[in-house]
Amino acid sequence: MATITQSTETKPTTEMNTDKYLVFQIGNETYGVPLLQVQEIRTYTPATRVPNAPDYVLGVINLRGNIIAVIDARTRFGLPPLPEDESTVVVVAQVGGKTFGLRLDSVSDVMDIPLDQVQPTPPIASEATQRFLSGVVQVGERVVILLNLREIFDIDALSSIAA
Amino acid sequence: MDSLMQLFYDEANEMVEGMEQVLLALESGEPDPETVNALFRYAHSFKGNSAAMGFTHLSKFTHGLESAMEVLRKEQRPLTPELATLLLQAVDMIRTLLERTRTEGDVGDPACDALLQQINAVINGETLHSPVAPTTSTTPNTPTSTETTETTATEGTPRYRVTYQPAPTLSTEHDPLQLLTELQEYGQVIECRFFEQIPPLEQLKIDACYGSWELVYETAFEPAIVRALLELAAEGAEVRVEPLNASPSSETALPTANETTAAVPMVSVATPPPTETPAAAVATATAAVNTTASKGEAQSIRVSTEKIDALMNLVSEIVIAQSMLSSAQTADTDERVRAAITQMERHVRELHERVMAIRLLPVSYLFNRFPRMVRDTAAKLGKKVSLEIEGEETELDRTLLEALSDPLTHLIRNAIDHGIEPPEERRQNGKPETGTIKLSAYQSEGRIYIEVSDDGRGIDTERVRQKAIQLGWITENDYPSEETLYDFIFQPGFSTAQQVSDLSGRGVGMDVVKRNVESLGGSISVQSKRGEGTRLLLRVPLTLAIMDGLGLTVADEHYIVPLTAVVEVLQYGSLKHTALFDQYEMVNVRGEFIPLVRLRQFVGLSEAESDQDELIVVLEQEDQRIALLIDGIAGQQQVVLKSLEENFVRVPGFAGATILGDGRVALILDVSELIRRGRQSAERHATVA
Repeated sequence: MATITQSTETKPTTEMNTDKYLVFQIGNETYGVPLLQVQEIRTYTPATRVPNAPDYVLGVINLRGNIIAVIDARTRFGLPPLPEDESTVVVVAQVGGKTFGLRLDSVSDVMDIPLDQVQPTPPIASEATQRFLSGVVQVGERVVILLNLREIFDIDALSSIAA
Repeated sequence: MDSLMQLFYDEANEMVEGMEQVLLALESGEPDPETVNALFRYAHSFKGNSAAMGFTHLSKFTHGLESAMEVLRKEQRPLTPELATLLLQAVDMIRTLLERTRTEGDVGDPACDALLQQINAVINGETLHSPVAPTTSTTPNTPTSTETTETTATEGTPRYRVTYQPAPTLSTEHDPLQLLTELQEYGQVIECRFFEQIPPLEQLKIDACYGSWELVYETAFEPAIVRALLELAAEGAEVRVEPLNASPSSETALPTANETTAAVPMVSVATPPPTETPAAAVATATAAVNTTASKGEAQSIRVSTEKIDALMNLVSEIVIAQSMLSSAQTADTDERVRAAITQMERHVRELHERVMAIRLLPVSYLFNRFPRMVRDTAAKLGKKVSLEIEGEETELDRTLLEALSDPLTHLIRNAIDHGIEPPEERRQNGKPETGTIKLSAYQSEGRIYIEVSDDGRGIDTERVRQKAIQLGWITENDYPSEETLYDFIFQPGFSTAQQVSDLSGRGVGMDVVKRNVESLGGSISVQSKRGEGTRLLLRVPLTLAIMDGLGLTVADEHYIVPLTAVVEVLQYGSLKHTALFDQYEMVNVRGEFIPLVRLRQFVGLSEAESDQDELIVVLEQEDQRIALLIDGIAGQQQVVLKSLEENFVRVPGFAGATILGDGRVALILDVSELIRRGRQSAERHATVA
């Protein structure tokens, strides 16, 4: 115990409690996902539609020989989808042992997020979308909404795709 | 070759290798008494195995070896390098004997006894003669190849020993190979040995010749002529031609008396020491081994499954790359490129087939575990069951075999638990007390069929119906067809077992079985007769990984259907179309009415304006047909089956996905689901009627 206390004292707190986040813009807001969960960022290639899948599942794509699903972030958040352009990207992430893609309008940055300043999400969003959020944090001028990728992908809900 | 024999050879080869490794390790490390123990064990089990197989010569030789080793072991003597060398020769001898038993049967080798004698002599501390065979790796002068031409000698043709040492500096004009070829024209080269004396790298001169040849040559020409021929051809070469006292019966024709030529072949020494007869015999035997050993190695090897899987994955990627290449062809593509692509397509296909063949295993690997299981399960339930197995030699992809293990285990357990009646009940029904479960496998039309049948009580359809009513799936007034009732068995949550046993009957069985089999691209069907038994038929593809598919288009989407299911493709416009009750559609294909399934509907697209160019693909599985309405055909191609479940979820109606030539993903249609859909609508309307 003593050694642990000592080590925390010697380190500056800012370094201790930051994590790198990939941040991006959806609509007017800035969102962030833990960089550790992000495998790669790809330009968007048209996905193959999966019949009977929920509307936020754009379809499946080929990721170096593996089939992964692509989820449209805007549709998932109940926003009207934007037509794709050069800045449209797919963020390939891993949650729960499965790889999936999240289509975004663009990615802007990688930021150090001070974890101890993350606050619980105020109940701004509807309950349905609330679960996609894991917190809010103010970094300088910007407010970053942190996303819960596991809830966004939600493999259990997808498993009940009807025939 | 039967499997027992194969097992013997596999084990024997492993043992030989083990012995060799132990001996080789010894050369580079400290002599260790444990090594002797290891060798003793090898020799001992070898003796036992070969005796069991009835190979007397092998067992005799290894017995001798074992006895020799016993002496070493008792006296705790370390292995000397000299002895190690002899033992390595003994290992080679075992190889020879193994090869002989394989090709000629239980024949011995004349040199066995001599070698054993020598080993014993060394062990007993007698230095009979100078080291006969220094280890090949440390000898500077090692023949690297020996070619023996079968002696078709005309009786009495004189033989010569020809030693040919090219000039130390090779000039480009003289090609030793050409010379040897020429010699062949004037007579017959019975034996050709090549010796190399390669100095350490730092002393190596690039234009120097470090090799020499020694031939046994049979020719009607005078020795002088042969010498002249050689000298003429190879200026500055050292050529010796000596007549041999040819004894036609002697296999090697190498006399031991000749003082300069007694160089023992293969074991070869730079300056050949005089050798005694046993040693020469040993050496000759060793020579024979090296030519046969290379044959023996190719018989069978053990390769880890990961390596084969990695190879298979690579082949899958090549197939995809190949289809990308093929689809990149345009009208302007160079003719040569086209030809190359076509050729490569063929090779890739063959490569795939061959790698596939490596992965095939006889289904006995799976079936063999069932007799024990049946025995135990039957005993636990107080039933008498005998298991009959048929077609266990049917070969199946390894991954498929593994995937089938659980479903089959479940089906057999079910058969014992629910199918086979208790002995007294069977007796009352006039059946033999012992029930029979038959497990058989066979291949037909590119698919593997596995059948589990029992002579038990059969499926009580009325009880299935009652259960379905209870579950709210049907109403009291519904009397579905037998097939529909059987289908219920495979639905989640269905179980008719009155008592939940710890073996089966939890209602989480058959639906899982069905799902597992379907995820393999297979299907399952039931036939049953009250009081007579139940028969479950599993159909699975030969392989999981790659299949031939037919591309179908609907709107701008592309789907794949397995080619094995495709019967024919027809113009929709040319067919008579009937719609019962405005909904249940059928088409008349040459007098046969086949349920129609619209692919657009199946994949959740809105119905388009009827189009004259629409096509019908007739699909068949398990003797059931449906007509699939599509927009067009996108051609036939090899597709690599990819899992949707791995990173996503199982999508009902689809067996998986594949990657097209352009890198896009196409979903593979699940034929059994299409058929089910077609039949379902048929039945729904039939019951209404």
